[in-house]
Amino acid sequence: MKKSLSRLGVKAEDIKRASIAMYEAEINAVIHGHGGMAEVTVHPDKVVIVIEDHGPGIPDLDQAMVAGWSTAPDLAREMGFGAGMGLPNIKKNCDDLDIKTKVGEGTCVTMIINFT
Amino acid sequence: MKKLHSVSLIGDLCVGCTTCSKGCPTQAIRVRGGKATIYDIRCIDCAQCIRICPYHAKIAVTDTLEERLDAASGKVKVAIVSPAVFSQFENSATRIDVMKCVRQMGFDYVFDESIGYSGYVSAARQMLLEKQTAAEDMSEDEKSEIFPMISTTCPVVVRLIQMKYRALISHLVTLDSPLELTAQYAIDYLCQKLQIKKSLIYICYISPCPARVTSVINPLWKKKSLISTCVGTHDVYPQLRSLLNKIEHHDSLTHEEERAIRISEPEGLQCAAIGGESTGMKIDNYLSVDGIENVIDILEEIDRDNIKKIAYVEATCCFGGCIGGPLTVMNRFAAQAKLREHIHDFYMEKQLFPQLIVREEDIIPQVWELPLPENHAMRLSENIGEAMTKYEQIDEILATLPQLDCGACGAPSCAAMAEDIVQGRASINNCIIRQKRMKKE
Ligand SMILES: Nc1ncnc2c1ncn2[C@@H]1O[C@H](COP(=O)(O)OP(=O)(O)OP(=O)(O)O)[C@@H](O)[C@H]1O
Ligand code: SF4
Ligand code: SF4
Ligand code: SF4
Ligand SMILES: [Mg+2]
Repeated sequence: MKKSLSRLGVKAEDIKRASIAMYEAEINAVIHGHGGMAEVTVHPDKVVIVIEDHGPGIPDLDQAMVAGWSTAPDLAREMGFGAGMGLPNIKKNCDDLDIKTKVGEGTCVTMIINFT
Repeated sequence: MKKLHSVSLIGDLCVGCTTCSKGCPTQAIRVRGGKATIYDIRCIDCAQCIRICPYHAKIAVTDTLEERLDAASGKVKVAIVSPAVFSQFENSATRIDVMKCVRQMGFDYVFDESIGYSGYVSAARQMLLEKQTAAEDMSEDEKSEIFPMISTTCPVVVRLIQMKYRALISHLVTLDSPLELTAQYAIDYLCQKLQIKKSLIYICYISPCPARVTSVINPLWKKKSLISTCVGTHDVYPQLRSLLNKIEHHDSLTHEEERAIRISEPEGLQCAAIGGESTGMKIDNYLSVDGIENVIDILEEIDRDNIKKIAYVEATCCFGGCIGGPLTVMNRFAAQAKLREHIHDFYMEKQLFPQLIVREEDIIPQVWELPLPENHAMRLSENIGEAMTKYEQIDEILATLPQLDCGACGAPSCAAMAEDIVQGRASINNCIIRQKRMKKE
């Protein structure tokens, strides 16, 4: 995605925001959501990134958004994940964030980054 | 039009073999009408094409010394010598011997570029310490915008970042180059000593590479270079060598020579080889990388935020550092051994000629006069909407190309060819494989 956005002439700082947000959401889908699908759509003025998984879902989204809150398993923590900073970081880097989640069904994170 | 780069082609020698086009790290070369051409705006002056052309058709354009010295008549003629030059001779020539002989080629004063290197390294170290203090209350994200700091001593690395790793511009050390720092020192010294105006000083740089020549013609972060002209190390090599063979008294200097020659401390000199700059930073968490492909790998990793805990990156386009520069003559391993000898010699020189040594404290570090602009040579259009359309067209065309990356069309790969077609720089009929397949059908 980085390379493509760069060729399209998107500014380096916007590419950075998009890739941080996408990376965190992907990691979440892998660690908490048993893997998922990513879809990136580029528009002339923004990029829309959708990461969807069919994992356990998030029971309390407000709680999950709190910096430092995490249910990451020990194994993930050993690998350096689980600081509870992923979602707050996504929020910070997106211009628009929408999370649809249902316990037992999965999670769909839609992130919009407007080009500056 | 102002020439943008110092790497050029001798058309007569080029047979259109496509070796250079496939080896160029920024895909700046196309073979058209049987001859290689360079897209200036994508060229970063790495000289890879000069090194790999089997027919020696690619050259670096520098001026000849005679022409230049003629142009400077009536001025005070100053040479700045790249530290890579000192290690080019297999005989027992010392650094001071080399400088004496450079002077005999027609200069009034000779300065060792290591002077600027020692100033650069100590100022970069200062900058690093200041940034580390400031970073104490920064978030991880903010830190990852400035660390690791990336050295700006090799202009090829800077041009690469400017074009392909634009998010890393904020990592660059914002100091003026060792060459410009040396030139500033020389100018201040001569203006004061001779009571003359700056405009009367003519400075010629003896360069290890075309990249630095380009930085003199088209400076990266300042309006105008202090250097008047450049010659390549290989251009002056034969003359220097024969002068050095004639030198007799290694341990004596005339009064004139004592006034005319200035050298650095070892911290500057060691920067001619990869690792030297990092040693001068006096930290453990550095990384030094040489060779353009390796540099690209590391920048890719930094861009992906995969390099943590490293504070400083020293990166040189050439294997071995500037002693392996494309315009040098000596084998780089032999040059490295020679460099060690020169560093060792310093302690003897310090006893004999203390007045020649410029101390690191005497160099005034300068920061960039202008911010480094991004180079958008890789983007498809100024307009994102149009770029998207082109992007799709490229994908469509690519699907119809054979994907063999044979290079016969003149582009380095089918993907590059697809882009050229969409950009109107090539015709799909140039793909002979596709033409042949279509005939068969
Ligand atoms: N896709 C998901 N499916 C299920 N639960 C999730 C998902 N994404 C986040 N969560 C829950 O929200 C919590 C907070 O997520 P967040 O990304 O902020 O932190 P983390 O992943 O635990 O740690 P870090 O991202 O800092 O490594 C997670 O611990 C997890 O319980
Ligand atoms: S390597 Fe490039 S410049 Fe040299 S002969 Fe082949 S096409 Fe021409
Ligand atoms: S100097 Fe380097 S970037 Fe420029 S055309 Fe040659 S190989 Fe390509
Ligand atoms: S490593 Fe030195 S010689 Fe090689 S391109 Fe860079 S500045 Fe020039
Ligand atoms: Mg996370």
